[in-house]
Amino acid sequence: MVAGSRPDVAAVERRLIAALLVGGAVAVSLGVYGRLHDPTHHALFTLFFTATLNLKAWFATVVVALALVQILTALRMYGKINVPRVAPPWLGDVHRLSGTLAFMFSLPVAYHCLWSLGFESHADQTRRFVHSILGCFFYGAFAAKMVVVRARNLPGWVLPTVGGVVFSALVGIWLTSSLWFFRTVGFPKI
Amino acid sequence: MLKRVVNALELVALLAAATFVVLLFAYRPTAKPAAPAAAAANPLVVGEQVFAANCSTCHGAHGEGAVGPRLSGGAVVRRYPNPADQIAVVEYTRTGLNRG
Repeated sequence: MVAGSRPDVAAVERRLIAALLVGGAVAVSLGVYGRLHDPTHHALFTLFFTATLNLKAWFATVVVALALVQILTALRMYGKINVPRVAPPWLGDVHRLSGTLAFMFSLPVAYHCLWSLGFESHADQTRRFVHSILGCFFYGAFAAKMVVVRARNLPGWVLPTVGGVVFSALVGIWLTSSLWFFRTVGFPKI
Repeated sequence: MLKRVVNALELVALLAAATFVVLLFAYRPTAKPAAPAAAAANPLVVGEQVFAANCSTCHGAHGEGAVGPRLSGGAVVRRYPNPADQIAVVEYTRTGLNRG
């Protein structure tokens, strides 16, 4: 791009399409795996929790908490909130750290969902069906965000939008799993 | 310093994601070792082992219910007083769930 000129529209479109394709491929791949794979119905490790499901409910809650840190740090970096008044130099690193930890905490949860329980394809099982769709969508959106983060010269609205989509999907996942677990099975139910 | 930690952690996360994908295809649950003779003679012990390995994921560690319905507290006996019906439901669920 020549300094002072408008960004190459075609290049921007190519990067956006690449992000969408990567995200779509990840989401569809997980969905296909979950649909075709025979669920093992086996428990995984439980650490100090009573059962794998308890571990999953709490890990997912930790993921949401870390995602909230991501949202707050992003809002501060974009100047949408002014607390703290002077943005500390490590804010960006904390943003990345919380996102990386959230992703790592999500992996064993997703693994058990896909490997042990599979994709719920019966729409009459509303909660599980929505949860399955959102789970695949979340990782697709996350992959798209990773592409967008590393792409240059994209319009300013793209990254916050994709980040917001990732967060919304995550909240939906939490509502259809952890919140349901805490309300149905019990709280805190370690 | 923090940046280095985050960079290293991102690398670990990438490896974890790769491991996640490999395990989805490669990991198969291993058969439980045969129960000791004394335990095998006690159907309650064997049943507990079978439940922990195959049922607790959905029904909770103590049958309190989770993804699957509650089994403890007499819920099963109230709904299926005939033991033959209980066996039929377990068989149906076991094969039906794996149909996808």
